[in-house]
Amino acid sequence: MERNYLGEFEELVLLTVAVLHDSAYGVAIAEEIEKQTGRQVTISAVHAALHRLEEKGMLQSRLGEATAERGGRRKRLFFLLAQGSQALQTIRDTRNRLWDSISPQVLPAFSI
Amino acid sequence: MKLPLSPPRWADQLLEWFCAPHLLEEVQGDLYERFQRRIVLYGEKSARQQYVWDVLSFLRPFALKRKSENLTSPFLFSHGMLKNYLKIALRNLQRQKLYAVINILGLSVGLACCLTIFLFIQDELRYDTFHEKADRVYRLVNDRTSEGRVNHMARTPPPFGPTLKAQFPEVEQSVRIFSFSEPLVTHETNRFREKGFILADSTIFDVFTLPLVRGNKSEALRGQGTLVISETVARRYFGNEDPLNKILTVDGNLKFRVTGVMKDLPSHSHLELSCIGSFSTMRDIFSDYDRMESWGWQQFYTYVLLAPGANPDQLEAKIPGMLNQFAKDQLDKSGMSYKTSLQPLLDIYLHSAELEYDIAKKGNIRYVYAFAIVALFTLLIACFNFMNLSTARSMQRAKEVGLRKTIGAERSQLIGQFLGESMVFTTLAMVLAVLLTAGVLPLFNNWAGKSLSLLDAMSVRLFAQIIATMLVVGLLAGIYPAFFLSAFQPIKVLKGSLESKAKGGYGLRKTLVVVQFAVSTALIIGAGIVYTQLNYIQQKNLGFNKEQLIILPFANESMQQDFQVIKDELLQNPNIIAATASYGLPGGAFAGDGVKVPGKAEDIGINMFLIDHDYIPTLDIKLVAGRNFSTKYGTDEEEAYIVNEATVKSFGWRSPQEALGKELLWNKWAPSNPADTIKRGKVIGVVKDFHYKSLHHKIEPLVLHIHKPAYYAMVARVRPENVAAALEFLKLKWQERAPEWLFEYELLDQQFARFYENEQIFRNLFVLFTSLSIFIACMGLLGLATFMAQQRTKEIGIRKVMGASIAGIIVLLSKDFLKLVLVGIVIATPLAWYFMNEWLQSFSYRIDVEWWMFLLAGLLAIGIALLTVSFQSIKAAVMNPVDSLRGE
Repeated sequence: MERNYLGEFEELVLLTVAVLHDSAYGVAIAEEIEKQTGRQVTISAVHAALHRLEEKGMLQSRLGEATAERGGRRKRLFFLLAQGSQALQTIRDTRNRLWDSISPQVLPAFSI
Repeated sequence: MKLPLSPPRWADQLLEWFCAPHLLEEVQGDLYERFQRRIVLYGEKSARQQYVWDVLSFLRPFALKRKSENLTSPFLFSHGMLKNYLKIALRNLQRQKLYAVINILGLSVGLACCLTIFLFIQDELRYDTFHEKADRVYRLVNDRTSEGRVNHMARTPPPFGPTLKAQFPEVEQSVRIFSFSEPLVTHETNRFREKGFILADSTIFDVFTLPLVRGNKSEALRGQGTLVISETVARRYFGNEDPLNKILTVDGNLKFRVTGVMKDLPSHSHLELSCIGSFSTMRDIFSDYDRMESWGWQQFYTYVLLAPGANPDQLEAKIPGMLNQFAKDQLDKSGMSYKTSLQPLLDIYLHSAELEYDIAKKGNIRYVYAFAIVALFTLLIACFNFMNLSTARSMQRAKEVGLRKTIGAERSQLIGQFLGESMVFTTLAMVLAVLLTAGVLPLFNNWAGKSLSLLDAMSVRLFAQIIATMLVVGLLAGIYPAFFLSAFQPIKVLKGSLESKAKGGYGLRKTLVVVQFAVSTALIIGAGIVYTQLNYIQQKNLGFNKEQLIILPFANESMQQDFQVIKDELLQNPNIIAATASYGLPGGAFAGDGVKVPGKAEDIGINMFLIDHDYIPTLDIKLVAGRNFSTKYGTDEEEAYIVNEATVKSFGWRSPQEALGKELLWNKWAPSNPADTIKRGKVIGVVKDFHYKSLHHKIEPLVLHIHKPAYYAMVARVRPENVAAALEFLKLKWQERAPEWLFEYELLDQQFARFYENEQIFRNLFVLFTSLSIFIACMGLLGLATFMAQQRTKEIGIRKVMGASIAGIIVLLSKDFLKLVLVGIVIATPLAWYFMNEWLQSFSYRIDVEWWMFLLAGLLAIGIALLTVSFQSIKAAVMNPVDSLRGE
């Protein structure tokens, strides 16, 4: 499993690709993460993460349509591959197991 | 619509510079998109700042790293592509059979020429390399000047070698060789004429590599009459018996005891050695052994072995000093001077063409060069064909190039493809060439008097050389078409507007055709001049009649003494017109001696024929003044000389008439009366100059006089219609008198023709290779003409419909080519003139190079070209226009 280890940011990016489904590309992913987490995301970090994930075989990509605001340049759209979704599922399962094994009174109270 | 604001240009450029090209589009697109949103959100200034930061933040490994090629396009020589290339190449071959045949056949003939000549040259260069010390062995070459004439001689006087060795420490060893000319060697009933019979110092084993199978080197050549023979000779005389201590008799009187047997010399030796007698045997041959101290008796081949590291030039520079010290008196007395040089052993075979009185087997470096050049030219012409036809047919391949490029082929891939194709062609051609060479080598050997064999030459090295040649030729032939074809722009090609581009290659094609025909014409001129010159030599009036003269050496001394009786007997046969006994024949051996003119102290070196009364009429030599020797005058035998015109001139007599009555003195060889050793006589006749040496040399002064003891052969002129019967009769006569003798005869014209053996070979080969190169050039022309006719099918059709005549169309199609051929001829003429003049300089008697030879060669070239082109032109011209115009 060592090979498929995902960093926190990578996990975020991967999840966001899944969220955005058909329109997951650099800017959209960055903005979605910003919106969801509220933290500033540099576009190059997103690109680097996407690049790594593609190399790990969790994502695949193709070139999409061009728009005027992009100066006529095409987007690279990313899609989740089986390995990617499996990785996400594994993480989720692990977390769920961990959550399930925490006795409720141990968690300090916090307000949402 | 308002133009969108753009981010800072420099940041953009920076990004374009550092970002990997395959990522640039998406990265830049994302950055632009963000920039536009930020303008809306934060205003232009902030957006620009953030843009710069974003760009800089991409300075990360993943964005900098260039993708390796094989991720976007398939590997240049991937299996699939190679298969495709090969398939396309073979399909093109099949579809264009004529071009394929022209290309491959032309190349293979060119390559076969090269291969054959390469083998030939390699063989020529192999001479004497088997001697272990070959690089340190030199032969003394002596240029003798006397009477204002220079003779380049391979021979030196006897004291030369020993004195060199004694005087100069760098001379490690020296050896003198005295050569018999094919003596008759007998042992019991075995009698053979042995070529390569020599006498040599025992040091011969130190200088040359001559391994002994029997006997030992330090003992074998000790004492008078010892002899080392080759294995072949041993087998010939003694069969399986032990040859050691057996006796061989030479020329009936000289006895040798076999003391050693040496391995046969390899055939690549300039010296042909079969029997080596000890040098001291000279005492048995020459009674006046004092001769061995003479500096004037140039009769020996002297070889020296230099110490390792010794400089031959320095040694050469010291020789005049040595001559001055030891030989000055003798040389001054006879009015001679020497200029001696050291000729490296390895140069002897190829660089001795100018030397006289040489026993070395000879090649000629000029011919080696000439052949090398001809071979390269032939190959060049074949390569040009390939280039021409490939570019000419570029139209056919243009669409393929366009399509390949559109699909994503890179230029380098296309260049690779076309070069590969030319390699395929070359490989096929080379395979054919090797087969062709193997096939024609026997014929070539026959012509060139060689024994080359592809199998013998087969080696890893030759194989590597063949592969290397293939690569070079493939590259040479393919590089221009490859670059030319791969430069097509897909858009133009696929639109079909390539005409202008094809015209571009047309200039080069013209040039190549011009070069091809310049070379071909030059070769035709060369071959023509070689042919004419050699014919001239063979048909030149030599000053005597060389036909139907049969030379019969006397078998023994009694025959020689009875020559007058034999002559009378021969003359009784109706088939024999005339007969004479002599020593000295045109094309054969003659004496080099000296005569004195009263009033001058010095001997004058001169050539000498020792003849009888019937010699001049028998050979049909013309007298220009005075009379022939006559039996009517008893004094002619002892007191008369005849000279040739060259002597008259050389002695400063003003006319042949004036020469009559002049007195000459000569030291007799075998005086019958010891008190009377000088023959004192008057010039009674002057003969017209006749050629007694090859036509490479000028006619030199010659004295003819009667001296019976020197006669060694009978010469008979026989009736041309009854040569066989005459020979039968002569054989009978000879066997009557010398039953143990091998009946041998020689025809004088054949003896004379042997002077030009090398030239004959040269002529044959030159004509052969010239024909081949013309053949290849014509094939190329045929290909081009076919192509042109195809290109203009429609034009011709329309012209015919409009009323053009067949002749008009043939002219139309042929004249372009003729122009090129004409330019070629103009270029070739001065070049051929220069080189052929150089070659002719090696003959003292030569034809003049005349304008009509060039005209004839030019006409021939034009004729051949026209014939080639018209084949296609006529075909195109007689075609029915309906067929050619129906297509559209």
